[in-house]
Amino acid sequence: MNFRYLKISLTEDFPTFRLIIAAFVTAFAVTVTVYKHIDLSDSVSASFSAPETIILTLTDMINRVFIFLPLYIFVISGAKSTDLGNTGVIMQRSRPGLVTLEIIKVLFYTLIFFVILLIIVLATSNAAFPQAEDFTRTFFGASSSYGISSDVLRGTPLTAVVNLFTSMFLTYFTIGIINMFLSFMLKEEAAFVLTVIIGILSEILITAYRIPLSLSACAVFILASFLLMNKKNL
Amino acid sequence: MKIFSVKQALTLFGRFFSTDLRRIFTERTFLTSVFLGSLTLIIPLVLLLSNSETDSLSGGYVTAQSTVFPFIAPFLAALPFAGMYKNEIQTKYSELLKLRRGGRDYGFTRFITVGISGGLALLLPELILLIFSLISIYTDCIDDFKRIVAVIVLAFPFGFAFAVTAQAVTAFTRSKTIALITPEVLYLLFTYSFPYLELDEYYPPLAISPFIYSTPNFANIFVFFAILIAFSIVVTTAYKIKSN
Repeated sequence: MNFRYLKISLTEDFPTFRLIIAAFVTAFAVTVTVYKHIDLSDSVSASFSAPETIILTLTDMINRVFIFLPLYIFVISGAKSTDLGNTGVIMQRSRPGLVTLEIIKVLFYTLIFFVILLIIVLATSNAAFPQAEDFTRTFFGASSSYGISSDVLRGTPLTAVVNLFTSMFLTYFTIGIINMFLSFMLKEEAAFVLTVIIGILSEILITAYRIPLSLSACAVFILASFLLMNKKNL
Repeated sequence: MKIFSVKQALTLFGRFFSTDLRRIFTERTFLTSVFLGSLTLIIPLVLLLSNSETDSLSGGYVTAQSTVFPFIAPFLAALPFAGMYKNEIQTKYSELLKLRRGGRDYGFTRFITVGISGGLALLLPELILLIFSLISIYTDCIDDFKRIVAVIVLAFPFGFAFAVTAQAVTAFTRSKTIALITPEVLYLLFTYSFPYLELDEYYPPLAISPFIYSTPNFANIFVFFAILIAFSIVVTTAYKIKSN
């Protein structure tokens, strides 16, 4: 595997501007969600803790499906090695090698996106709500109305946050790989629109039917990608 | 840089302005925008009339206008500019323009052209809806007309503000799709967030359908437009300074 290609590709196509926009919009969306929960906790005259607010922010359908997901795909689709193109195949000497490095690239950008998301969510919720080691009674009462499954509430708030982040990471990473494949075949804009539609549909399905899909879907798509990469027309 | 006399500069400015206007109004996307806008206004009116849910002109007009139209209005306003921009990139007309300008900057002329196109893309469907409403609903109440005129007049600055926002976005990207989608995304984001941020009086759909609340505050609506236009001017100017 030629890691020089990865280095060139990362330095040439790093989507700095898109990441800045994503950070701004994420910060705005998270702030709005925190305001929403402050209103709610005032109306029920009880307060949520910071980890609970993080859970509410990450399970909020509008945030997760209609704000974070399109932003993530916006960042990923800007990172495609447009200039390298076929040169990439020559540098790698094989298509499987190229696809593997592209997957590593998607993983790298997904990590960056989630680090930004984590920092913003932690900073905003900690600034507005107090820390707590256990779930509050208000949260237990309100969780069913927010559509939070009982699986999330089994452990401590910290484990719930870690689980949510992991599942979200794997789901988004899978969608990122779908975007990568689509961008091999289509123009950037068409791939972006199609991935957003696929992503929104799959997120809604996962939430509606409570399928523990992220891990299995991720595995299936990585497998499919390795099978597909031997196709000459990729 | 080529030096022009004031008279020459004004002639060139006028020529650039009229050519630009002619180009944007003959764009297929402008007609598409008017057509889509008319459809989203007339279909709710037909549904209202078929269910016999309205008997006053302003009631029918305002309800039909505030059903679907406010939520796709920014997209419709940005559509004519997006079509023109795509053509300019594909045919390399923008490069030719740079040569023909001879160093003069007509960025703000383009601002006016794009704004007018966005404004008319929303105004024309509303006028078409008015004609349909007048044909289908009888009225002799003058208050009806006052409400309708207020709604129609607001369509133009709304279209203007969102079309120039789409143009400002092209400072960052050469993608037609991003320029087309960004005003709509911003609009939906503000529509979602403003009630939680206690900015209800600036709620974006009020800017095009002011009668969603019983007493519209027109001052707030114009503050909203002014912020959008100012943002677009600042972004475009900053980009021009940077690129020079």
